[in-house]
Amino acid sequence: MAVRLMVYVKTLVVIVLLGVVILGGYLYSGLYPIGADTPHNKLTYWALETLRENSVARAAKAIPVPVDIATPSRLLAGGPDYNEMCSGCHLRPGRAQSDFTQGLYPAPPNLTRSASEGEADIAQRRREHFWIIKHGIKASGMPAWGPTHDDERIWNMVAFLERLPELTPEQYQILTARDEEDGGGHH
Amino acid sequence: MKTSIQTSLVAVSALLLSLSAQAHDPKEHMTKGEQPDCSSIMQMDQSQMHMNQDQMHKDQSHMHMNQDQMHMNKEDMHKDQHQMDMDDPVMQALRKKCMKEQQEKDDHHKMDQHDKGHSHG
Repeated sequence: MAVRLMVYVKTLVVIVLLGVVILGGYLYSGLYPIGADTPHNKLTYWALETLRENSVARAAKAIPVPVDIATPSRLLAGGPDYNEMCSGCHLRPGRAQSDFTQGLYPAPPNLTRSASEGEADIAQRRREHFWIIKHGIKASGMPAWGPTHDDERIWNMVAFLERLPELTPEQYQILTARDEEDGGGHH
Repeated sequence: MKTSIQTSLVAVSALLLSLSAQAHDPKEHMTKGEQPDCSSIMQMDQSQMHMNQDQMHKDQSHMHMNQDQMHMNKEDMHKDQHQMDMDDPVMQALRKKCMKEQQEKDDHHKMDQHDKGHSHG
């Protein structure tokens, strides 16, 4: 019985070591197509997407959302920042694509479209938007804006994002125009 | 001597790095100085008013309402429109921005007229 168990353990160790060697060999071989114009295979895409979604959801779970998140002053403060920092990749009303949406992989989400989550998920969606803007996402083209923008400015962008799918191109132009007195801070 | 130069270089580099990492002013984003185009909102408001008026005329001709009922409906419509505009943060933000824009235009206009008055006088 003990001999049998020993053989079983040895076989398992050999299989695991072989797997590590094959994986290492593949990583060092350079065979994986790393170009952004070649999509991941379904397994890699699923693994990375699952990793991203769960990581963001867990990290954002405890972030307190400001009670005044839906105020006009936040929309006015967040609009110009969105236009200058985000619209190139995440688009604006009236635009269906840009060089970035066509060239980046994975393609950045079109934030002018409504999210499909229900009412119960609004608070969590706000937290996740805040976390993503602040910390960015590795190897996706999404930068972390936290080092150069304070939390208030990021919440202003979250507020603007929430109403973005409803805006017409004309309304977007007005809300995102930045004049000299406009600031990013919330008043 | 060599050590002090190296120390200075490291200190200056560290200072520059820390400055670049600090939060920057929103004005640093200002590259175009684009003005809000409020004409579309004015037109939207006017067309909304016309639509409401047209609807009122249709109601008047087709439904044969009496004057009191019409008057009540008119008040309700204005109330609804007023409530919608006042309650919606997007509409409030648009109005706030456009009113500010209009105010600035008026101020510039007054200043121009004031300057012209002085130059002619």
